[in-house]
Amino acid sequence: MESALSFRNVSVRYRPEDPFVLRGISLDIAPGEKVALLGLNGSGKTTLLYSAVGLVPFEGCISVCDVELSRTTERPIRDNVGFLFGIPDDQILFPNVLDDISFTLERRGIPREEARQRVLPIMKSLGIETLAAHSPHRLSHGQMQRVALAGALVSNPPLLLLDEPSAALDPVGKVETAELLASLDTAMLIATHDLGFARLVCNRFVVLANGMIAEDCSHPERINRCWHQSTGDGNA
Amino acid sequence: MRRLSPSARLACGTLVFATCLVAPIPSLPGISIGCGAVIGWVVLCGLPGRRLLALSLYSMALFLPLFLLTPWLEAAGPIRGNPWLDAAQIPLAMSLRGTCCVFVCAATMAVLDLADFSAALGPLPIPHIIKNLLMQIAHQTAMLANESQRISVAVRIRGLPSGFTPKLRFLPAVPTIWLLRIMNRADRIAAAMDLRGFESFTRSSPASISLMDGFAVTTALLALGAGISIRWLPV
Repeated sequence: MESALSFRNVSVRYRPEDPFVLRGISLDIAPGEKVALLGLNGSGKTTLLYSAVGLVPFEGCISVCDVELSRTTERPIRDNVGFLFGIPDDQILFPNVLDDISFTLERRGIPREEARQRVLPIMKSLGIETLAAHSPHRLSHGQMQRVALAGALVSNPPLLLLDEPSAALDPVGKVETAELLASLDTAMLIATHDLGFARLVCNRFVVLANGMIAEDCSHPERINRCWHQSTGDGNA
Repeated sequence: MRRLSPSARLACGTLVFATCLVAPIPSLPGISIGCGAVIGWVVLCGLPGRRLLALSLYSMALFLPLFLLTPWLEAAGPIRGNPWLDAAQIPLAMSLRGTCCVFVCAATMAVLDLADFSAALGPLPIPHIIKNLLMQIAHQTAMLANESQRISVAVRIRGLPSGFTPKLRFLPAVPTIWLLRIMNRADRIAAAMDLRGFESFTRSSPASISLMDGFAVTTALLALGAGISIRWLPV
């Protein structure tokens, strides 16, 4: 596999009469590479993640694991991606936590009992093993985020697309999750505002501004300056 | 009741509900079978007194207006006495049947939480697509109820504008906000279902029936059978 995710001159607009939300994005993510997607609100981070799995209409060319994204390849591509939505309770589809996480494996043909056993280690590493029998709608936002993240990680996909994975986590949970993600050899694109979290997990940083790539580098110091310039924080 | 398997609880609740629908309510045997099944089910499910009172008030509010139609109704059979009393039997039958159904639903929901409901659907001999649909209806209803609660808390915390006219102007906006949020949410859930491959998913659960489950379902079936025989079989 040459690249885990590739965008070639990708532009996105939600309707033909609307302005472009993303313009001419070209970006390659190698297998195992961890990329942070930074940017202000409305800069297009979530839209870029959505476009990678065909949830929004796009122009240009997107490939996941060397397979070009189209109507016919959408399903197999989505099976190769672990996706975390920005609002995690939207992606929880079952009335108890264990069923929801094991669903990811069951729909890949793993028998139910085996799937339920195989999700336990990831639940433990995210600190949600005690929530197995809980109803998702009774969980806190942070707990829901961990459940959704477990559902994305459990099948060990070659590519992870994570939208604000640290948004609702407490400081301890943030560090634990960052360490867990950093320990995986999976390629990932993480949309976040949290530069500290991004630095713990990622080795490459892409800054989006007004729907275009404003910076793409691997030096934390440089990205720190760029980030503080774009946020208008002169104290950096 | 909690000792029964979730499937048996759901099956019994459905059978008692069906008994309420088929029992010939205006007749004495029909009332005995229908109300007997409902009272038995409500007692076994252990519905608390306050909930019973609330449900009674709710049913009254729901069905009493039907009696306002009495002057325009005609008696179902030959007039035997006061034509108004004979005509009132129609809303009476509808109210009794409706109230029984409300009680059965509430009692069944009291012994089946969301996770139980999902487990209950597993072994039932119905198509997977219907199971998935029913499970999503139950699950998403709970999530939407949660969302509605959050909106209502937000309205309470932020307060309504003072004065009658501003209040009147503001109140119609609440359902609009609610509806927009629900529609946006529905879009996001549809995207998540698509992404996670929910449409092609089937989960089979082994059916295990205990003696107690068998006894409970048989009893409920007998009640339904009695209702059917009184209604349709010539005596």
